Amino acid sequence: MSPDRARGTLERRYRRLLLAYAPPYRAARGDEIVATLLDLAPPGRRTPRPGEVADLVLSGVRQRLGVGSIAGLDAGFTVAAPVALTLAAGISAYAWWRVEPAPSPLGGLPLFGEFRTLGPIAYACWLVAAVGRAILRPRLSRPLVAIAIAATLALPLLAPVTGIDRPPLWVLMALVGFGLIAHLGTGPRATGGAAPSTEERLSVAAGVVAVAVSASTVTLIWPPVGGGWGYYYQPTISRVGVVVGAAVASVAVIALLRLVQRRPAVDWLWATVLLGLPSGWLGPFDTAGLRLAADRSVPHFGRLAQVLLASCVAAAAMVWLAQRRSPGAPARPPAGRGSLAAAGVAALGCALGLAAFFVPAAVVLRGLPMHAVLTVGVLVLVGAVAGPAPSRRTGWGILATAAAALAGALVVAVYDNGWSTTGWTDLPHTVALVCTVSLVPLSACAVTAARVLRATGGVRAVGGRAGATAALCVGWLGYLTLPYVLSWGPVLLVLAACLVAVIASRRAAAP
Amino acid sequence: MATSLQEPTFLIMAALAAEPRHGYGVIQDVAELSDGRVVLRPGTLYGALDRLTEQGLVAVDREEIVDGRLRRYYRLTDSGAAVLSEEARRLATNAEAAVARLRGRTRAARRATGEIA
Repeated sequence: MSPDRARGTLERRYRRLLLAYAPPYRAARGDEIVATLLDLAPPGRRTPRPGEVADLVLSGVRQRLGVGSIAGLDAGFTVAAPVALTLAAGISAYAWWRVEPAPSPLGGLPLFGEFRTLGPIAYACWLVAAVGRAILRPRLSRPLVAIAIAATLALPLLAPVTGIDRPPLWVLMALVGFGLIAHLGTGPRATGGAAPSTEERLSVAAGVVAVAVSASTVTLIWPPVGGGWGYYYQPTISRVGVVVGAAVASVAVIALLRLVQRRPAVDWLWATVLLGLPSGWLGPFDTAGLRLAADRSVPHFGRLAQVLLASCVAAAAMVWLAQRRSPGAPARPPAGRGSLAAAGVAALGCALGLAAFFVPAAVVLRGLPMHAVLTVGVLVLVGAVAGPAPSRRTGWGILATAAAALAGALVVAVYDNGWSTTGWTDLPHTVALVCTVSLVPLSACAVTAARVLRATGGVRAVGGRAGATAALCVGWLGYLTLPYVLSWGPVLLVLAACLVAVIASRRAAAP
Repeated sequence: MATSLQEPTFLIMAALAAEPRHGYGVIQDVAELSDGRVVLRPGTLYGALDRLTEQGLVAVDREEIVDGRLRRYYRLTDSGAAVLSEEARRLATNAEAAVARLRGRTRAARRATGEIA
């Protein structure tokens, strides 16, 4: 292939990658970015390097989301990265050391050598990544984190092929979440490839040991039912969750101390909420006692509901912090009538999507549990109060959200059925669990209503609707959650840390 | 801006301090300034330039077409120069303080060695 032809192929491929950016940005900056990429490429190259692909895709997504203008976000990733890697490697060390060794025989289940699951494959990768962070330059240690993320994601695919069990998805999801924070926080945006300090290197190594030993100590002090180290699902998640919750709370305390000392703290507040998201996936206490057989008006509020709600609180804290813009960045339009109407569309769409799932279930069950009817009713009421104007656009919005809600409902249903689409053994329980999907739009509506109230200062025309929407959403969410708030256990620490971040953000100076 | 800049941002502003440069030129100069330690990728660079432009610290100087390719030159604005200067002064003060302490440490070590000898 001639050099000109190779150049043309490379340019075409770079331009395809630029699709990650929004069209107006592409029109304004595309030629310039491609010119710089071609200047950097050696003669004869026809394919973008993997690093370039990742950089362009990630930068494009950031541009579309507008996160580049959020004050303190990049610095927050930098602060959170070593903590996240420490937590991921510490959880791995604990699980490998204390939970994985199998008492033989283990009910006839196939083992992975001497271990219960395929987990040690990923755990080894996380420990290598932590050692890499302690002794290598970021350019070399960062790919190790990517390898650990890939190994963790591969376990659910390997399990059915090998017939050997995998660790619970909540554990794997938390590891991947921490890994993504560690990866993004050590990228060129955060540090420019500069090496971490000796203090930070030592902290990561010592922190991994501290997390593993602390989780082990918590398990000894608070042994699982039946003694021993128990099995993964309940003991590991909740005991590790105590340590992870304490770590996130510590980051929030450091942010507060910096505020008291009048030092920049927005990066530490961002680190708190970033770490809070995957931390919320670990830690709810034993939920077996939460089944509400007697009270048919309330959906089953189990681990999925706790995890969804904890994620919504962490996401809401991020939205709140994201209101702070970098100095000089153009201000975002304040939340108003349009935002409230969009929230109403989400509530109505979710009601429609859940109804599409519940109707066939009602045919099979010859009726529908009261809590399912009430959930759809609350969503419709919230949508009516938020009051989207009837239009073609509103209709399409409702249909699109309904499709997303139905997809979410199907995923939850298959999850409840042991990842199987046949042989529905406990459809009433599945229907109850699907009700928890409504927590996402209701939380979003509550946050939007609060933002509208804040922006309008309670102006009667919009403020009344926003106030009623917020009251409905918070009231229903509180009705579901408050009676069982103690069962949240360590997640309460994470949520408190996120709330501290939100409240403190008004006083914080940008980094 | 009363607080410290992140290293890549500092180096991009430093690269533009003496004269306007286009994207490729900034990447080359940042690598040279940092002794090869900081290698910016184009997506990262243009994200940073967008942010600095929004903040009024950097502005577009001119555009040229070279070999059919668009080259847009950026320059440091007056407020950008002020921010860079303040940050450079802060870093220099910190570096001087650290060097002074290290000198003290060397003297103490010599004294200790002398005593032992």
